[in-house]
Amino acid sequence: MPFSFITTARLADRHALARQSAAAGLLAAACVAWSALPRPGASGPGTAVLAVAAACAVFGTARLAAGAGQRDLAVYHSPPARLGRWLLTMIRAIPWAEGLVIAAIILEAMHRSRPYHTGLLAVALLGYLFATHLAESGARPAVLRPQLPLIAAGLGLLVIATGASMLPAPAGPASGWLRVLAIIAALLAGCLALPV
Amino acid sequence: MTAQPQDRKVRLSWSVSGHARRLLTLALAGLAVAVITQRPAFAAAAAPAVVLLTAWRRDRPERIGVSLRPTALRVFENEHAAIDATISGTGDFSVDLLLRPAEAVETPGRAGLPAASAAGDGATTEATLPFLVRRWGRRSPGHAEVILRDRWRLLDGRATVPLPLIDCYPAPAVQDSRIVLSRLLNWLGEHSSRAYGAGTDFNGVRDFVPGDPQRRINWPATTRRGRLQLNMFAAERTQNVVIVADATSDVGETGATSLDLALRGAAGTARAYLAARDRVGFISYASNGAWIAPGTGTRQFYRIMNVMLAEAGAGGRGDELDRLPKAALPAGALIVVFSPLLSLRLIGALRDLRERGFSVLIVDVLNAEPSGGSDHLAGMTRRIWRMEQQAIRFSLRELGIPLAHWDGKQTLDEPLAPYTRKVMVGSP
Repeated sequence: MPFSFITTARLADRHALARQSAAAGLLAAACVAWSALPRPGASGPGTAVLAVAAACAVFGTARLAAGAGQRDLAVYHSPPARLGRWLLTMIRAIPWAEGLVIAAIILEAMHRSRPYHTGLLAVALLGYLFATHLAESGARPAVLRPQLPLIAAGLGLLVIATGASMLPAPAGPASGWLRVLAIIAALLAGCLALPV
Repeated sequence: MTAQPQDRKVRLSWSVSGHARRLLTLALAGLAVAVITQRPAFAAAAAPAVVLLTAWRRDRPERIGVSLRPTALRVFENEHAAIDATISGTGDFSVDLLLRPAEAVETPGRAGLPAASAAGDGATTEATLPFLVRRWGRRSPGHAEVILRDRWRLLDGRATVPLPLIDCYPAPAVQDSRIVLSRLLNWLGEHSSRAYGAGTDFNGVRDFVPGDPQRRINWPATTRRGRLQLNMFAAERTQNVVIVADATSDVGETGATSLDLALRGAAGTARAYLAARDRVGFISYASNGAWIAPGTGTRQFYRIMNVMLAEAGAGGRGDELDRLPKAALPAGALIVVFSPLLSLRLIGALRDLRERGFSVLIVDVLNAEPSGGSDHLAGMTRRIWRMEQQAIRFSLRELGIPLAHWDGKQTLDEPLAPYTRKVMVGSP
């Protein structure tokens, strides 16, 4: 069998791709489910955003599972095949992961949740973004090892900022703005102080 | 045969990676929602992404050195080959190397994924890009894409380098048996001839005459007859074989066209006869009709393969030759023709050869029919075409030209079996 090494390598790659896509898909589902809790009303914009988030999760996972795509040498295709190829091209062209991030944050903002809830959502979204990057580039998780100190610093800042936002707010019309600005300023200061 | 490395400096094109874009989306969305809703928890949610984005670096190499060397300049169809790549000047960036395959070239692994990855250490990065060529021809395996990534994976630097040309020869068909003519050349070879000589095949006994070697005395026969008997052996001779590949038409399924089969069959036959130390010549029957005189050895095989690639691969279709070149046809040669028999000029040339006394054998490599509709007229046209083809083949058989059909899937031994089991009568 002259194609043995190619077949073996492709099989191994297919398994790796399936594992990485499944991991990203599970994280995407977790993000959508977590951001939807507690569930907003049965109708209205909440349901629409939830639908968008779910669609982004499904198509984002499908995009990862479909891979980068190969050059097609055939000149003529049947109409169903052409439709399938067009759909695949569309799925590959749209940035589903970015859509999922925005939809999940909007969904989270649509109901009053505790700051720790938002913090956990941020951690899940970060995990989803890393899983997507690994599945997309075919890299091993070991490539993230140099980033571990920075990820730890980011998560530390997240914990501190979440804790700060859980403190009781003083009364006043501008207190919310001030707290947001204070956290952003602390964040920027922390970033500038990091020895990168 | 290995190639000289192809060294060059290439300019990198830098862009923001998809990962950086997604982190930026998370950071901006979190900060925007925090400001709009006055909820500081969303600003906190942006913190990890903002921290990761601060690692953005400005110092990056503008050019890198790329050295590409194919492990072999000559390969056969479906034979594994590789490109050895050396990337220099990458600093501490990690290097991913992708092979973007050209037509009829396959690579292991998923499309768009690196065939080789290495962490940069400031010196050089070495990697191997394996590939496999599916169809014969002189072609480049494709392009090598070098991707540099910083340790935070926020920046992508890309460069594309064309790969050097390699010669991919048709995969020789399997042929273990050989057709042997009744009259062979007087040159030393491996085929047992009818003449007595110093070979190894026993050919009878005769009376001993003074001067004969005593070690050849057949003692049992001597005892029976009462006088000295001597063992006789067949002489071992060589033969001239000229292979003709018809490159005037290329019909059939891609990868198994008549031209593919003609070249694979010709390569297999050339290899089989050269292995038996016969003298093999080759004629590429096309508009520019190149040929190579009979010769022996491995070098002759590669000469034949080069002529095949240069002439048949050039795709020259046009005015064909009326007669095959005389200089390429030594007297008494066995002529093996691989053709779909669609060129009337070639058929005329073969008739002419037979009438001149050459031993000709045709391997028919036509495995396709004209396509068309399924209506009555199309069916009738196909029937007429089939009858024409049958008539052509019948007329050739009537002239004494054996004809064997080969579908490209079985070995060449099977269609040639009726002719390899007996000696083929040849002309002096």
